[in-house]
Formats: sequence, C-alpha cells, structure tokens
Amino acid sequence: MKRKYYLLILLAFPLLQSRCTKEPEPETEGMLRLAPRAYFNETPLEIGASYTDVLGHTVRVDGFKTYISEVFAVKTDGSEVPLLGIDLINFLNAPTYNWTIERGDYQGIKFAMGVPEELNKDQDPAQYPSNHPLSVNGSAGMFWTWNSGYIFTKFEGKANLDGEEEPILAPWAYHVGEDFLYAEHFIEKPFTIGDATEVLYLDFDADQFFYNDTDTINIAEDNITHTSGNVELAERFNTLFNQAISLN
Amino acid sequence: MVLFFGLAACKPEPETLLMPENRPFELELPAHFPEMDIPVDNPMTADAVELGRLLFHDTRLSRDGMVSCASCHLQHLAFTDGLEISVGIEGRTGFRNSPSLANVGFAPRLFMDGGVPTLEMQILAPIADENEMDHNILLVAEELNTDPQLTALAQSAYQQEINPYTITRSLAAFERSMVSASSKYDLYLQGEAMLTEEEMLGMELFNSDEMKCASCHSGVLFTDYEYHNIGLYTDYADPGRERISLDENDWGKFKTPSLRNVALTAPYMHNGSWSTLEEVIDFFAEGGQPHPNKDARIQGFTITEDEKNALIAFLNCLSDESLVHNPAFYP
Repeated sequence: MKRKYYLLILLAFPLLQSRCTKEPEPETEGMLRLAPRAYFNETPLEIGASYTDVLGHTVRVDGFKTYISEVFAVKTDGSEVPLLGIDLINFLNAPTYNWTIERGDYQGIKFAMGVPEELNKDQDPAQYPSNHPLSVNGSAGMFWTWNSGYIFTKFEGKANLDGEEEPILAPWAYHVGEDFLYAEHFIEKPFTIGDATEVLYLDFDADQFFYNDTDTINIAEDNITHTSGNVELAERFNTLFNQAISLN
Repeated sequence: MVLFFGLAACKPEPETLLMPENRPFELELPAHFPEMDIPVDNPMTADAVELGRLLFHDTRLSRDGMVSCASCHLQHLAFTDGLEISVGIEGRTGFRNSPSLANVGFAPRLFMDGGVPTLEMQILAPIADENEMDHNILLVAEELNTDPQLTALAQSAYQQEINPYTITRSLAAFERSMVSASSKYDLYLQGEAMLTEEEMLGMELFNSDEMKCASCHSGVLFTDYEYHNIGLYTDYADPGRERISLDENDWGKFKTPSLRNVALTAPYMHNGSWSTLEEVIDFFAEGGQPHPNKDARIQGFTITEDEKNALIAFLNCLSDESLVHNPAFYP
C-alpha cells in the first residue's frame, strides 16, 4: 500500500516541477484611454471664457454638457468590445475613461451622442442611485421635468451680438434632446492594444457647432431652443454638433 | 423598587413612538369609481401618506422658503388657487392655471399637456421650475434630513432617508389619497340623495347630444383625459399638447379637466381666462373661435337662461364638501 503512494508521488513530481518552471502566460489585455476634449477656434474650450464665432459675435460659453452612450471598441474582425453604457460629459471638468480590454488590432470606436430610447422618455431619474449619470444628482440639469426626458446636449452662454468684447448680455442656449435626435457614430481610427496604454481623444470643435460647409447658425437670430418650441433649430444644431466630433 | 423597574421596562422605547408599525393606507373608493393604479414601487401606506402630507405643506421645498405645494393647491378651493395664473416664489408668475388635485391619482398623465407620466415624476417639476419653487431637490432633501419627524417617517415608509426618491414617492402617495367621491351627485348615484328638478334638467342637458358636454367630460370622473382644442383662440400663445408631442396638429390642445368640484375651481381654462361658469357656458354656446385643430364637436348650441341655470345647478352637485373639509389634508 505504502509503495503505491510512493509511486504516485514520484510520477506526480515531474508534472509539478514542469508547472513551476513553465513560462508566464502572455499578457492578454492592455489599456485603452479615451479623453473627451473641447476646442473653440482650435484653442481648448474653457467654460466661462469668450470666443469669436464665425460671424464675428463675441460668444461666452457658460456651459457645455453632453451624454455619450453605447461606446464600443470595434476590432478588425468587426466584433465589438463594450466600453461604456452611458455617461454625462461636463466640460467644466471632463472625465477621462480608462478601460482594460483585449489586446489586438482595432479599427475604431462606435458610440452615440444622447440617451438611448429605452432610457430616455418617461423614465424617472429618482429611480437611479445618486452616482448614476441619469439620476437626479448625476443628470444635474439635464432632465426636462415638464416633459419627462433627458437633454442630450446642453450648450449655452451669453453673447455680444455687436461683435464687441463687452457687454455680453444676450443669452443663447441650445438644449437638444428627443429620441429622433439620438445620433450614432462609428469613427474609423485604427489602433492596437498592447503593452503601452493606447490614448484616443474624442474632440468636439465647439466653434463648428455654429457652422460648417452646409449650414451656419447666426446666434443673433437663432439663439434659443429647448427642442420643444424650436424643433428646426434643435435639428440644425444637433446636426452641426455631431458633425463637429472627431477621434484623434 | 421592583415595581419601579417593572414599570420602566414596560415603557415603550422612543423609537417605537416615532416609528409605529407602518400599515397599509386604505383608499376608500365607492363602487361606482374605477380602481386606482398604484405603482408597485410606491404602495400606499399610512406613513408614506403622512410624510407626503407634511411635505405638501412644507415651504422648505421652495428656494426662498415661502412657497409650498399648498400655496397653489388650496384645500378649500378643491386644491386650486383661485388665480388666473399661479404665482411662485418672489411673485413670479407661471403660464398656466393651477389644476385641481382632486382625484389626480386617476390621471394617466400629468399637466395640461400630458408631459409627465406619473405623479412621482410630476413632483420634480414645480420644485425645479424657476417660476414656482426654483429649488434643487437635492438641497431640499439635505435640509429636510435635519428634521427628525420627516426622517423617521421616510425610514418607516421607504427604509431610506429623505431624498428625491422618498420626497417624490410620499408626495405622490398623499396626492393619491385626495379622492373626491362624496358629492351630491355621488350620493345620487348611490341612491342616498335626490336631485332637484332643476338639477335633473341640468344633468340631462349635460348629457344631451346637442350640448355634448359629456362627450369629453365623460364618465364618473368627468374627463376623458384626452387632449382637445376647443377653439378658445384663433392663435394660441400656449401650444398645449404640441409642446410635448411636437406635432402641429396638437397645437392648442389641452387635457380635458375633470368637472368635479368645478364650482370651486374658478377661474377656468388653461389660462384662467373665464371667471364664471356662466361665461364658460356662453363660450361653448357660441361655438368658439375658428382653429384648424378645433374639435369638431364644438359647434355651438342654443340655451335659455333657465337651462343655463339648470346646467350650473347640476355642476354644483359635483362639489364635494367632505374633500374641502377633510382634516386628513390639513397642514
């Protein structure tokens, strides 16, 4: 009986030894960082600072918040790696996202601007824990209490429509939301997840929220929308806004 | 000495006094009333309703500490305020007439344009509205959490502190308790009262095909909860339902108000533009103003002075004295 045990131990020993000396498993994951940034006329946007828009108005930006949702890294084979469900980006103090994901080659990032339909209309913000971006606390002024739905993007401030630096008195506000303004994006930007942290920047060119090749919003005339009350302006702003996003 | 300690042991703990066992709140609905949908996450309990009652009358819900829910929803006026347009903090005016809260628990959507689906969510609006309470519900909760009576009730009812969840749930529970089902008309339906000859004539006129009042003010709650343009204006400053639906075909449409307690809820219309029931009847008799969205049923009718008096006599039968004097709704 004892002999049998000795044999088993002797047979097992080389196996144990080989496991101890085996090479470490190769790393299978790496870091991806995504940093939202905002610019106005190619300078970093500062909340509270004034800029000159394309038509020469002095524009002070007092707030810029936007919901980003359904963020995925898209691999070269087309498969998608989930990164983020939803978050509110407040450019007063924009977050930086860090994710540990599978190593390999990726073709770009898929995401949406706004709140997905199933989370948007008639949903009670009080149902969420206070640290959730859709909660009363987390949504912080991004919920229409009179129309039970989330404001997807809020870009607002004051302007001097004469083009002078002072006084800056005329309010402007673009508050866009409603399911039909939810905008899905896929931006092709090949990157590789390996040893080093891969850093991507999600850039918002805020001066181009007012103009691009196809449209120009004159802040002196079209300066207020809460979507309801001026749907056409909300659609125009939302189009310009979404066309002013790039991945770098 | 033994007797002394024995008595001390029998004295209830202070916690027991503050937090009695939370019991279900029984809604008393007569047989001719519909069932009320109670949300699964907000069952009616005595402590939830009691917390809601205290909050309803609490001016700390407003930024300057001067306005409570009860400021615009006065019990003796069937929870309206008698003003054309409601007034919020610092004398700021809103843009619509204060609606009655009687039977509000039956409403499938809230506000005259139906912008909000539940009472719980509706409560967020007046607290945040700059022309009403102009406050931040998170700051409200912070302040109210210093009140031991409120925090004890919140713990008992919801096992949570005072927060947006418990504020909205308890106020909604209290508002659901505002049932108005004891008017003379209700007693008549239950065979416990007789209507006078004049009131009977008024009821017949109300239900007549010519006047068509009951086609929108329908059922036992005297509303179809639908949105109608009644031709009040040719050009509405307030878009009504369009504000929510973004459909121009809804411009100037407003939710049919219940006529229960209507004698107490003047002035009338979404903006309080008519002061008396006589004026309202005259308006409908004339058929309203032309508007592309006007309801086809608004075509005018002829009515004599006696018939008008009879119609008003019937509408007076919808007033519920037990609602306006019920101590359960007192501060």
